[in-house]
Amino acid sequence: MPSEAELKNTIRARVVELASRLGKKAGGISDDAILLETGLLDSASVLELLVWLESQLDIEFDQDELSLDNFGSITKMAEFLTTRRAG
Amino acid sequence: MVFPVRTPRVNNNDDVVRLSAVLADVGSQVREGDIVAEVETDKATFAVPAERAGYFLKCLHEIGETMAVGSILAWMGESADDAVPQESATAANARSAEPTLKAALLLREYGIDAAKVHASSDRLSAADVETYIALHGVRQPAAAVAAPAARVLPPPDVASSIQEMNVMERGMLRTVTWHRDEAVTGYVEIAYDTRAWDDYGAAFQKEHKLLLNPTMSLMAFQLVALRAKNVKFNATVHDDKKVLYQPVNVGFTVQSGDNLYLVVVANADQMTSKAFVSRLLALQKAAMKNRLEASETSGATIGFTSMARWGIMRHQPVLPPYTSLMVAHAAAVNGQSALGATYDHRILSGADVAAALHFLKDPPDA
Repeated sequence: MPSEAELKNTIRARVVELASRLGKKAGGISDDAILLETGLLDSASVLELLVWLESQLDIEFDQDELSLDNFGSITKMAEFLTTRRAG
Repeated sequence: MVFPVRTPRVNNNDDVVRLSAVLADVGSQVREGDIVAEVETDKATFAVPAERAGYFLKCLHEIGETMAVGSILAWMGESADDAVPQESATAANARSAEPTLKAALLLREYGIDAAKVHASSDRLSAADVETYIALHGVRQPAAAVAAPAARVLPPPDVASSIQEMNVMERGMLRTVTWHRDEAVTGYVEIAYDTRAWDDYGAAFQKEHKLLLNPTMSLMAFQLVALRAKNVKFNATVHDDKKVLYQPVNVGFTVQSGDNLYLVVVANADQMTSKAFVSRLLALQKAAMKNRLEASETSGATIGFTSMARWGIMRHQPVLPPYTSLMVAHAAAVNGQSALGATYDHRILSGADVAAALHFLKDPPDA
């Protein structure tokens, strides 16, 4: 199981890739930035990110889990995924 | 022991489907759920899974051939050496039944022996006869008016290679062909201030503690209320008659990699806005995983599409088959945007659609 730091790196790389598809550069994004507030990703891109995480980690998120507390930023995602996989 | 793979029903309106691909090799081992074939109609495609594990023995049809729903598509067996039954698929399914009056008239009109036609129930119905006609390519009576010959252009005079289209590409071809050949399309748009919808979406997101911005989903849900204004928005034209749909099945475009899906929220008129947003989110996820069921991409009665995420400020969408209205959402600049719609002029006027857009530009209770 990847560590929280490894998860952050993986998620950050994916965020950069998804943003580039929308013609935006997200290389300097902060791990604590609220993704949808940065303007670098739209809702569809965040959804793509979630679907990608599900496939990579072989898990499925309930819609109730899709909250800002769990997925608002790269840091929150990594924390949530670490907890979720440990649970 | 052998067992059949039956031809599935792709949607409620089609009693025949066309074989578009055979994906299992003869003699190959197949797991339960493996896709062994693909079938299609003019509206949808459908992957045919093996209902149980075994060996793929024989497909009874050629690519492009039409097949009756429920008929035997292929044979599988518990071993690769199992013998395939000798009866043809049609004979294996056939049984004698008394024709209804309408079926009898059709049989006589086409000169078909009733014993050759498979009955789907105790009586041989007109639909059964029509299925037989489609399956066997029975010619129209001589008195029927001959259709004009299709114009076939010569291939381009440039070095090239020819490739078959994949399932998604064929689906798009059918859609744009319906748009071109059946509908009489027009396009109108209005300018509008997006702030009312932005505020409404933000309040809804906060109230329901949603991660994702629901504004576009809520705009699509407003198509349900639009139908209450004018039933012709949720309708089509067929055989020179208006077809007014009972449910509101909202089609919504989802781009997934290279694939463009029209996912369909069926019976949206029976939903709350929250249920609609939730269902659409589930369909978007399924589309992104390329795991949509055929029923989730067929039967749209009205449509919504957006190219806002790519910064597109105006676009004229193709009208999905058997719909009369496709709303086009676009990117906003400084709170201003264009809201447009492609429509079928056979049933809607430009004034109708202008009224629809003015209704849609504001959220409920604004």
